[in-house]
Amino acid sequence: MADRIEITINEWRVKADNREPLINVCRREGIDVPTLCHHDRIKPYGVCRVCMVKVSWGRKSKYVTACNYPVENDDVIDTESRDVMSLRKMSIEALLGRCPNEQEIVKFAASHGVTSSRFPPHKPGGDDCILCGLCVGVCNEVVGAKALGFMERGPEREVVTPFMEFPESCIACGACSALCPTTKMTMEHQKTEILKSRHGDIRPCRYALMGLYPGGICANNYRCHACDVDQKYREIAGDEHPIFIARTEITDGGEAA
Amino acid sequence: MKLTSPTQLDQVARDFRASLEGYKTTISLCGGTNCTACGCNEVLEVLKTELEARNLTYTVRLIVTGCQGLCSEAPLISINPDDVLYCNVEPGWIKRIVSDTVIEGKTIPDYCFTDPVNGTTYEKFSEIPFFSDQTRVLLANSPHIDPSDIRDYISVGGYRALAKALFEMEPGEIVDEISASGLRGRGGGGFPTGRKWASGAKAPGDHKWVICNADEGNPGAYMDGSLLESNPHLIIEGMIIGAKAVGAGAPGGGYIYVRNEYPLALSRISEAINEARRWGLLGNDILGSGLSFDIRINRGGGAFVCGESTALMASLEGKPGEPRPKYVHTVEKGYHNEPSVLNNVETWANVPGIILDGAQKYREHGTDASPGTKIFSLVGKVRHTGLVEIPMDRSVRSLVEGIGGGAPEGKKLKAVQTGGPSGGCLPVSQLDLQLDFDVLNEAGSMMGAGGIIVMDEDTCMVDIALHFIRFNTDESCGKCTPCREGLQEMERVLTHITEGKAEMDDLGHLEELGQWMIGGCLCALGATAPHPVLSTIKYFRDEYETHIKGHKCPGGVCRELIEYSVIEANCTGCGDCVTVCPTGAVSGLPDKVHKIDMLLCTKCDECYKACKFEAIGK
Ligand SMILES: Cc1cc2nc3c(=O)[nH]c(=O)nc-3n(C[C@H](O)[C@H](O)[C@H](O)COP(=O)(O)O)c2cc1C
Ligand code: SF4
Ligand code: SF4
Ligand code: SF4
Ligand code: SF4
Ligand code: FES
Ligand code: FES
Repeated sequence: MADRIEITINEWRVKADNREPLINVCRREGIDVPTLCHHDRIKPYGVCRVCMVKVSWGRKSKYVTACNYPVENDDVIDTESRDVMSLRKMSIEALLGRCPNEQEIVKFAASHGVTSSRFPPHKPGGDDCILCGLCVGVCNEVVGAKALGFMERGPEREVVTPFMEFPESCIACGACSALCPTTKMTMEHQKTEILKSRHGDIRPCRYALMGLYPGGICANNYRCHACDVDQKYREIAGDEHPIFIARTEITDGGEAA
Repeated sequence: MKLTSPTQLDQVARDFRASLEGYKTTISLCGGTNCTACGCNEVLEVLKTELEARNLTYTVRLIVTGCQGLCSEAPLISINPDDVLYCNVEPGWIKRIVSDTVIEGKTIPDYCFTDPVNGTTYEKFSEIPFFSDQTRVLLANSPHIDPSDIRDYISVGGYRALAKALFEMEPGEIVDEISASGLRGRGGGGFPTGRKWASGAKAPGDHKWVICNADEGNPGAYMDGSLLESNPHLIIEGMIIGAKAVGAGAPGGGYIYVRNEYPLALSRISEAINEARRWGLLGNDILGSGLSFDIRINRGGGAFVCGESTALMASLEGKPGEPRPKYVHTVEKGYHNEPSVLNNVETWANVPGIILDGAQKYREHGTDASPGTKIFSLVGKVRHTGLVEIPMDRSVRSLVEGIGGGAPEGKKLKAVQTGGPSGGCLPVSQLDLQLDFDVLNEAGSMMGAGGIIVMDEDTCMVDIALHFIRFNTDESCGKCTPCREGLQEMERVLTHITEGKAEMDDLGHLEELGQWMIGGCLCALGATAPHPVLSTIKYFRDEYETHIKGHKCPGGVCRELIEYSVIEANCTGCGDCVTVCPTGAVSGLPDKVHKIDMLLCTKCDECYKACKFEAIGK
């Protein structure tokens, strides 16, 4: 059992576990802190900087990212003052400027009061990736396929597959595109196409669960839950894997992908 | 031979000094990076041959040292006990140097250092103001010892601090002494070293590490490389003391992370580590004390950001050298998630002196909050460039105008940039500030690693800010939003200003970007990168306004804003400008005032450079 501590958030005293990520405390207490690069199942990457809050100890204070800041006893946290808001808004404005045509980002920005950006896009039509790292994180840490990574630094940084080729190790699980807040990540669709072209339609599929076949029985009359490929995948990824949750949501909705 | 007690260490020192008694003269040839580049190896060959030919090898000791500190006059030779320094030495001079100075004891004024300003020639090394104005503590031995011979270091008192730490002090006492000295990290942040060591000592775990940061990626700074080249055992001694203090003995250990572009420093430090092992100063049971500790070398990842503590440790582990959030400090969870005490080369170099002579003595130099001396690398538009070690209570002015001799060629000093590519620019009105950590921070600049760049009146401050932003954009790892997007945006806006395409609102936008990056970046690269922009807006706002509103560049640097014209009163009609102009934009009759056709002019600046009469205006 972790030690229980007390911290102050926006003048409320709340209890928390020692060194628990601040975002968890905020969520529990119903305090809204936006995030773009955070997911419970992935090690915090802490790069989008939209979850900024301020911590003070006496007269000293510091801006920290809520998604990975481990709280300590008597931390005084401020999630809504003007300076905090302006730091957050600027990060949102910058990402909106980078990806002006990504609808999820446009919606996210608007919901935080940012509807235009002074940052012009770096390429015509804008970028399709905010470099949040969720795809890389989920593929490496949760799926274990290690099919994605980052390349280059600074302005040239981008998400790539090993050696820039379509990775054999990709299992077309779709976790990356499920988590991607933009339209960049379409790995499983591509992989699906490759598999289809290689095996034709008679291949018992591993991607049936992805919502192509509501009810979990694929076109080959395979019961997907018994399909060895998918079984194996479940072993690697675990039942709570975001993609299983995502898939369930999709299949229950009955939509074909 | 492995030394197994402090007495044996003293014996080595005595024996070595005795072995030198036969020598009447010591010739120290600088083998530092600059002198090597300037041909010191040829000088060395000639010198060796000459000494052999004259049968002097038994009375003259010839050593190759690390950087002696006056790199602008490379290659250097110093001769002792005569206290002579010869500059820009050529192989052809050697015969005369040996016959006149070595044999007859006469100094040759022609070869000595001559001050380019007042023409004074200095026949004594120790009287050259560039050196006599300094307080050389860390660099004291650099011009005199052979870095490849551990006995030389031992003979000048080397490893005595280690013996004291190993046999007379408890780990806690070592940490207390370092805390009492007030030593602050020289890698940039100025973090109190004693406090870091105390946390390291307290952190739970049997595998602990001490790491030396020799990544030194700041352009123009080379104090760390120079220390490693000229006195590698000083760093090794500091690290062993640190290892005892924090408990990083085996199964833990030490690492030195050396910048890949430092081949000489790399080979010197590897050689020194091997020597130290051979003499029982590294490895099992050091000096018979029971402490076992060894140091390994790691070559840097090649990027500036790899010098950042968390990126450095990731790189040591073989991962990409990218920073990670530091809410858990590296002294608790660093290299392989084990407690790791990381200090800069120069920080480690301070340790033996503090342990041997005590914290009180250390505090005789510098200020209360920034005690001791600091090595600065002085570059840019200044007469004497090089490495300068001074106490931290000296002013920027005494460094730049005193030791550095001010701006050359009668130009006026305009600004001094401290702290490397993420430091701030101080205007002339701020030159009386002390060079200590806190004063520089308050002025909107920083100490950084100690790089000092001097700028004269021909500098455009907007252009300078843009230059540093470009450097940081190239070096940013690109992980976090404010650094990656903020730097690109700053670069875009500043470029607009230099092209006369900006509006006054853009200044506010730049300031806002700066505050966002300072508050929002993941690591200190991005959080300090706005300094050059914010400090130039603060101190040189009028210059920005002239660019934006007046479409003029007062420094005459920003190409888009320059209009060349002939100043009629000065033009003699010599025609030099016509000869150099590649597009035929300048024309005129001989001995008559010339003129420039701006439609043809490509702003190549050739006429401006060619005119001997300052008749081209821009
Ligand atoms: C971008 C960046 C580059 C750095 N490069 C260096 C470096 O080359 N050498 C160094 O000693 N410290 C460097 N630092 C500082 C280190 O992160 C760290 O603070 C320092 O090595 C700690 O040692 P100290 O306490 O002795 O200064 C750098 C920091 C940043 C943010
Ligand atoms: S679809 Fe492929 S790339 Fe995407 S997470 Fe799954 S394995 Fe990784
Ligand atoms: S592709 Fe999508 S998930 Fe991956 S880094 Fe870019 S925006 Fe994030
Ligand atoms: S501040 Fe810059 S260098 Fe540091 S982590 Fe962020 S992007 Fe990388
Ligand atoms: S070089 Fe100078 S002085 Fe000579 S013609 Fe050109 S402008 Fe006149
Ligand atoms: S959610 Fe915290 S930095 Fe992205
Ligand atoms: S390298 Fe010779 S003086 Fe610096």
